[in-house]
Amino acid sequence: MEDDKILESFFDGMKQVDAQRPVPPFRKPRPVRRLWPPALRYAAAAAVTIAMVAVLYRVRQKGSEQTTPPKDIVIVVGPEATRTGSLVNTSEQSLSEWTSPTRYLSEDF
Amino acid sequence: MERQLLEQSLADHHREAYLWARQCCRYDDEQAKDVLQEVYVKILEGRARYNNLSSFRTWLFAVIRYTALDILREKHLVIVDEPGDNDHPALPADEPPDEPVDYEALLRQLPARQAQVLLLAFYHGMTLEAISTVMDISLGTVRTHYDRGKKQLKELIALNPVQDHGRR
Repeated sequence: MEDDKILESFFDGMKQVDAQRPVPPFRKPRPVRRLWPPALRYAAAAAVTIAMVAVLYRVRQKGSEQTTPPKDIVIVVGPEATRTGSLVNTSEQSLSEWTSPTRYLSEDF
Repeated sequence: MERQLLEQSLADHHREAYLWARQCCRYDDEQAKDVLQEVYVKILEGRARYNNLSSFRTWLFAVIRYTALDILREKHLVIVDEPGDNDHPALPADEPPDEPVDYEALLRQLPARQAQVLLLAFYHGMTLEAISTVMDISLGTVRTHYDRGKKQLKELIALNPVQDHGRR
C-alpha cells in the first residue's frame, strides 16, 4: 500500500503538470459530403460492368455470324404422283387405254 | 446513439481523450491531435460504433488506442504496442540522468504496455477490468503488466528522484 502511495503521488504530480498543458479545443469534424455515396458508386460500377459484358457479348456474336458461310438451300421440284394409297406407285390406266407392250410383234407378223 | 448525444459525449471527454491520445503517441502533441481528429471522424461517420458493452469513456479510450497504433504504424513511427517487451525496460534505467527527470521521461523507460496500464489505472483511475477492455487483453495479462509496471516504475523513481515530482 505504501508502494502504491508513491505511485499515486507520482501520477498526481503528472496530472498537475498536465493541468497546465494547453489542450486544443474540441472541433467537430465536418461531415465529408460525398457526391457519390458508396452504395451509388457500387451500383454505377456494377451497371458499367454489365454494360461492358453485354457489348462484348454482342460484338462476339456479330463476329461469329460473319464467319459462318451461308447455307445453300436446294429445292427439288418433281411431278406430283397421284395418291393411290398403295405403297407401290403404279400409273392407273383403263382397259381401253391399255396397249400391249408386245403388240408390235403381232403387227409385224 | 444519436449524433447530437455522441458529439456532446465527445466534447465532455475531450480533455482526457486528448491526454490519453498524447500518452498513446509517446507524448507527441501533433500526433495526438491527428489521432484525436481521426477518432472523432471515425465515430461521427459511424466507422466506430458504441455498443453499450462498456462505459462510453472506456470505449472511447479503446478507439483512441487502436487509432494511435494504426496511425503510428502507417507513418512507420515507434510502435507503442510492441509485444514481448514486458520484462525489459525500453531504455537503460541505470544511466544517471544529466537533467532533472520529468514524468514522461520516466514513463518512457517502461515497456509501452506497462506504462499504458499504469497510466490507465493511476492517472485515469480505471479499474483493471476497464483496462483489459481498453487494451484488449485478458485480465490476467493486465494484472501482470500492472504488477511488473509498478515494480519497475518504483525502481525508476528510486533511481531518478523526481524533485517536487519533476514540475517544470
